[in-house]
Amino acid sequence: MGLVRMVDARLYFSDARTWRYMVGSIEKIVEEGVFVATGEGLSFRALDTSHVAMVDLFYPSSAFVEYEVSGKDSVEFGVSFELLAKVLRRARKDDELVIEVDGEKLYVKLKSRGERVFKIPQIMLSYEKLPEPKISFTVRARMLSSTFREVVKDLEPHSESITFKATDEALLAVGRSDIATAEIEMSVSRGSLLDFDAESNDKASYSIEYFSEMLSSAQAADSVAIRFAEDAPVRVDMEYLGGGRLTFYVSPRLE
Amino acid sequence: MPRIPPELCTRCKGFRLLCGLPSCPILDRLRSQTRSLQRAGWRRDVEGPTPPSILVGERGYPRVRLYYMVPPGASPQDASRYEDPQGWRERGVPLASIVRLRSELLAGSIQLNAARRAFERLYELEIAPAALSSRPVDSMVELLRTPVPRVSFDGYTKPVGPTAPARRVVVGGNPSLEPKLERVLWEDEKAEPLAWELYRSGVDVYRIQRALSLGALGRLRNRRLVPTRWAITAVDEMLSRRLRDSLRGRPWIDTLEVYYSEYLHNRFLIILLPGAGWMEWIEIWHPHGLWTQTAAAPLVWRVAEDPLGRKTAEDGGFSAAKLPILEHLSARGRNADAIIVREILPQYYAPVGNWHIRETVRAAMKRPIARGLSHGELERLAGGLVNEWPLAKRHITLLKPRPTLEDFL
Repeated sequence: MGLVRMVDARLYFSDARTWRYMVGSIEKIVEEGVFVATGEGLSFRALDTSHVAMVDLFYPSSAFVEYEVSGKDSVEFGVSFELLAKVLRRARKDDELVIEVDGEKLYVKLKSRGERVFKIPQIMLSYEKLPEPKISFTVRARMLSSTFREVVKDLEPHSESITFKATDEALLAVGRSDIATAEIEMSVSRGSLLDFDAESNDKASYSIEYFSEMLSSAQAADSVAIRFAEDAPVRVDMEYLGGGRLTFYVSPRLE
Repeated sequence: MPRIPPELCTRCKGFRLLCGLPSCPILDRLRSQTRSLQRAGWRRDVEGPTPPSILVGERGYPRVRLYYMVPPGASPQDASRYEDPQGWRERGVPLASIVRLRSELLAGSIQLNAARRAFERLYELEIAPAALSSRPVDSMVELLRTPVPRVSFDGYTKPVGPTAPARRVVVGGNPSLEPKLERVLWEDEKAEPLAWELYRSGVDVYRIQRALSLGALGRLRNRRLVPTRWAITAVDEMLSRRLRDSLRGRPWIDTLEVYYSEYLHNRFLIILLPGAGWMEWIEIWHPHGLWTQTAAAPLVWRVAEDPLGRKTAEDGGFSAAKLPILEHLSARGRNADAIIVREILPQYYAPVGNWHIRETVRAAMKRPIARGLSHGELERLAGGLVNEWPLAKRHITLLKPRPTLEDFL
């Protein structure tokens, strides 16, 4: 009989690159944090140091090839994203990902033809559950992740801020700096939006940097959903295959 | 003189040569004006105690020149005032005296390849230990020709006096090294942890800069000379990064605090606000100053840095100011957002190095001039200290209301 090692949690995911891109974005916004694995799925929530942005991840257990959480109701593990990102940057096409939590150790395995095992320390963090921001969104838009990436990349070079404006039919993204402005119009009728719904013609502005940081995670996403309201935080959901979701909240800039 | 946009000059400070000319016309003119400060009649052999004072140039990197500076005939007790940023600031030594002091230093230059075991060579020649000594070291410089009487300036390093290539440098006296420094010289470890170790054991920043510049810090096989200008900012950034790390998770300060100091016609107004560690550097150059001779109105330059230490632009002046502010916060174990306004008056006619930024901000941070002000009171106070406050304020974003996600939780 083979030796069976009991671990606290074992998460087996079929595409390591999705995690590489997600963590690539998270790393830019928060330095460290605590993942919580329960029977329902894997989640993570943290504020950035300046409390302007929040990262909120949920990946249902059904999206994993194998998902085991032993004994207890939940398993928590703290990671340094800088370290985790360094490991995941090695993920290639065809690599599968296994994350194993074993006591104070964390194993990250990249499997394709061979298996590469990285052992990184867990960091001990006090974990307190953050509430979800309470915002009544008035505007909702969904687009392909490629559209989202193009919009941010179009605005990035000459903008300090990104302003979303809703009209009855279209979503406007406006980038602005001291010297230049850029404006992009998206609508369902033109095919740039998948869904659009605006209760009122609201607008709000945000620092462009946070959107630049989201680009990596958008690379692996299927679609991106944006929700906002007049001078309220924006909620950007990266929607992944199998029901995974990485959400960013960014508080508004007052212009 | 060619017409060059002054915005370019305030960024370039005479060394990036953004105007496209082969050498900076402003510095050239300044150099020719300071000729008259020279004393005539130098000989080829110069004896004197080095304070210690050295400079690694950047022209032609990796084939660089090392300048070994000596005040001819000065007494050992007297020599240290030629290289004394802290002392200059404490005693309020005026700009003209600093230029004069530096013009009295004679520099012998040695050509070296930065990457080819330069530190080992300098160590064998005893030049490295002398340069890191905490006391002046008697030295003799044999020059190949009589030096050209001139003073060279740039925005980061201290002015360098008359210079000639050296046939050899003989270190006569006994260098005295701080024990901690002596221990790390041959340690096979990256430069940043070593710099941090030295800093924490009380070795002063200027000596750490000099050590990095001489190639005395770092993995043994990767050591090389680092041009002084680069080393200065590198050390500021390395130490700031560590100080920021040590502040992670610490509570915020309670209320707005204002600090102020002025030296060498440079005014520094520092405002600390409760916050996670954003920083904003606002530089205001008055017209008719060194770099702004053709400007019609004051020029503004802004750099911002987020709590993780990512900045909008590289700026050695900002890095020099950041270090004493983080030192102050780290000593208190508190986080704060910081606004630093630097106003440069036209009387700042010669750039003497960014040490004065570090030292003046450090002096300012000793005690606040006001705490817990309302916006109206801050307005009046700042308006009285900085001539161009309304202009500065237009560029400051940290004073504007910033909603955080906590307002929505």
